[in-house]
Amino acid sequence: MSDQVTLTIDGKEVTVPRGTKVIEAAKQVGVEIPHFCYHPGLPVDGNCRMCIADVRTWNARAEKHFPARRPAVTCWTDAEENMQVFTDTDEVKKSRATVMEFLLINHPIDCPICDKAGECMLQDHYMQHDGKRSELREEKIHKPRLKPFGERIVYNGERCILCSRCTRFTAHVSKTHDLGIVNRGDRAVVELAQGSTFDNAYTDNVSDICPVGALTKTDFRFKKRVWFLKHTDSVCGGCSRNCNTVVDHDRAEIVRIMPRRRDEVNGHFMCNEGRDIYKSLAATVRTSAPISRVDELGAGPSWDDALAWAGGKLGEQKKGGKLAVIGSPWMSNEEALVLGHLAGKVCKSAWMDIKNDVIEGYPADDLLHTDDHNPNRAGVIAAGVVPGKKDGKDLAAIQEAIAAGEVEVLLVWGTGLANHYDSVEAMHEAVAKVPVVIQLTDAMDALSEVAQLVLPVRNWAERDGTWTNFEGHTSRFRKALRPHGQARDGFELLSAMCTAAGGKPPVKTFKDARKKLKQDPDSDVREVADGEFAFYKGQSLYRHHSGTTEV
Amino acid sequence: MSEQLGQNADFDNLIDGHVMPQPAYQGEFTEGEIVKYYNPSRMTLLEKLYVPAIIGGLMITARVFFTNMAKWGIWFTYWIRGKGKDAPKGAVTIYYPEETRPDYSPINRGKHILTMRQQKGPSGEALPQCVACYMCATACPAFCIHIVAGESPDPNIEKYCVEFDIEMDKCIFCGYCEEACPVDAIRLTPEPRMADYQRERMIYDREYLMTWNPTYVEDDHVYPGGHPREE
Repeated sequence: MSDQVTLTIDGKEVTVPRGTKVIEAAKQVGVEIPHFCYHPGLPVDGNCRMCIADVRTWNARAEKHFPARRPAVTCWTDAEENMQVFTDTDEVKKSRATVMEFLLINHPIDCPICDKAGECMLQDHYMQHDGKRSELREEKIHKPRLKPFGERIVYNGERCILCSRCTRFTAHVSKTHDLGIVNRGDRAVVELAQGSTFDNAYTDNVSDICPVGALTKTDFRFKKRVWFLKHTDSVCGGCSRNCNTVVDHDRAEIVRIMPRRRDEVNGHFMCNEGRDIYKSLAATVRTSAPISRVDELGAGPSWDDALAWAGGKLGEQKKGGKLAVIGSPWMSNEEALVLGHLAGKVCKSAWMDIKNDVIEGYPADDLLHTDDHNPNRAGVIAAGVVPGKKDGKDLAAIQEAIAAGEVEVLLVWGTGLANHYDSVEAMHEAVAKVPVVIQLTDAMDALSEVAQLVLPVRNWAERDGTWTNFEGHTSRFRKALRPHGQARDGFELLSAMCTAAGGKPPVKTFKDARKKLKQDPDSDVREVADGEFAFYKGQSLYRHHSGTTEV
Repeated sequence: MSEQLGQNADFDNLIDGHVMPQPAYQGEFTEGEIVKYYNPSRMTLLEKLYVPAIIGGLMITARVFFTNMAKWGIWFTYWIRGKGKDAPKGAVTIYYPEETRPDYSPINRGKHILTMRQQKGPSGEALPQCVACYMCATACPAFCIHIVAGESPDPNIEKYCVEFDIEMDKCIFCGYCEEACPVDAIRLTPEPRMADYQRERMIYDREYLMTWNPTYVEDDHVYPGGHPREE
């Protein structure tokens, strides 16, 4: 028996590994089978019966297809050799419409006040597969509404279609067994397990995978209708896992962060802390223009003056000077490449290392969280921000050199240098011995209070770039927001500094940088789940993003 | 019969058994094998002259002028008897801020109102019927409706509008918000007067929209298709 099987779905032939479900095989040839309870990241349950299709198996002895007695659930049926699947017959369409009718019997249809409206599978499938008025004339069944599940989730039992995605998530993915379905028939509701507070780090995922608005996030509750949101592919910088995300934003404000499917990095999910990272972004103090504390430049220099001055100071160090460069694990790979070139090749300094920008955070676990709360340590090291081979100094040695007054120019990217000193005062005392401190930062910190030149750069939501996680997978984040004030893109700014220092930037474009870094081709993956949503288009006001959460 | 139908060249034009004549397009001619088009004249000679049309227009103007003057003559007969105030006016000039037209249509689209629920809130305050679904803001072609949603003080109502601002100077009075509203929360009254001296005052907030012409809806909607809450 070979490991591959070939089957026909709506007349299209597809070869898939043995054991693949028919619904997944159909996805590969662009046939979209509607479903509620099936989720590729969860074990199969097969309770919603929406994914039924006419499945005919091949009988090798009789050498013909046997007509199916009844439609089969494609999310539970394994693909077999020579199988024939029809998803478009009248019988299947009628069955789907009937399933929809039953699901909508007790659904309150309160779409105007439901936060899921616009990205709701029930809405989409109703428009596509049902479209009838309800035949029910009786009063609808009432169930608890506004029931809190922990602090982050609100449950509305009336909207629930009991697909059991949330219970399967807590049972098989987070393995906390917080949720379960109790009672039978039209009295069935999802309940919190006895004694459970539902406060683990992955609770918000149940709201993402909920196909209707039964589980909504308190963070997003009543905040924005989803059709006003713009979606930008991004990467979470909360830890070195680099979960791929979609940043949903309206005007200049990030409204929420949703996970994006990337099987080898984060799968389908992300943690609550990663979703809240936009709040810390809004809380940072920033500068909108360069700040200087040297007499030649004045307090608020223009970008040209600041760059010329910084380039001059760096260029002076070319001939046996004392330049120390402290990079950051929050730089993108491209920026790290240019910074490494600027320090090592242009200014010929071997004193270069990276610091720990963020040291506090949630503990590591065996699902997604890692111990390192900086996103790109592996990538920055790989791009060349490391102590030079000859006379190189790592961070501890650079600190000693600073204390000994050997360093003449200190170039720091980002915040958190004080993490390596006992206190902020100790850091201020040490840095005071350096004549020229240049800081390129997206947020103000203790060093910005004393640095001779502070140059604002864009943060992760405002620029393009790639990060490489601790396992070596590279993910790309894209510009979602307008830059704050005059903040400049780090890649472009560092390239300009290379020129100002009398050298040449190593690469001209992002594309060249990625080629030079030999990044894996997946770093630019955008169409992860494309095709999956084609049947929603035109049905829903929500413009489904190509790489958004798999539903 | 079926054979005849199939052979009929005008089969596509058959509607209820009648052959619909295909209108021939005049502006079509062929040069060799190439089909060319021009814009055929649709005006008659009389129309091309323009002078009769100008005379016709002047006649209408003159007729209206003399009719109005005759009406002022009627008004004069009242005025001379000292009954000038009761007299019908002649020309239809209206001295706007002092006078207004009494004959606005009842379906004229003017100043908005937010309707209120008959049931008061827990502390006796009037609650808007609005459930903050943003349908009006979505439908609005001028983007002049700004809503902030929040948890309602009434536990029976889940969502309501904490803020509801309409920029009246942007509004084009298309009435789409009224059409889009699923709970009859926003209405356009016939009221045409909303001129003001300051732009800031053209942004009407929730309180003003609810109170300038207080209106209560007949049925309080908990939410569309909804029902009172049962615990």
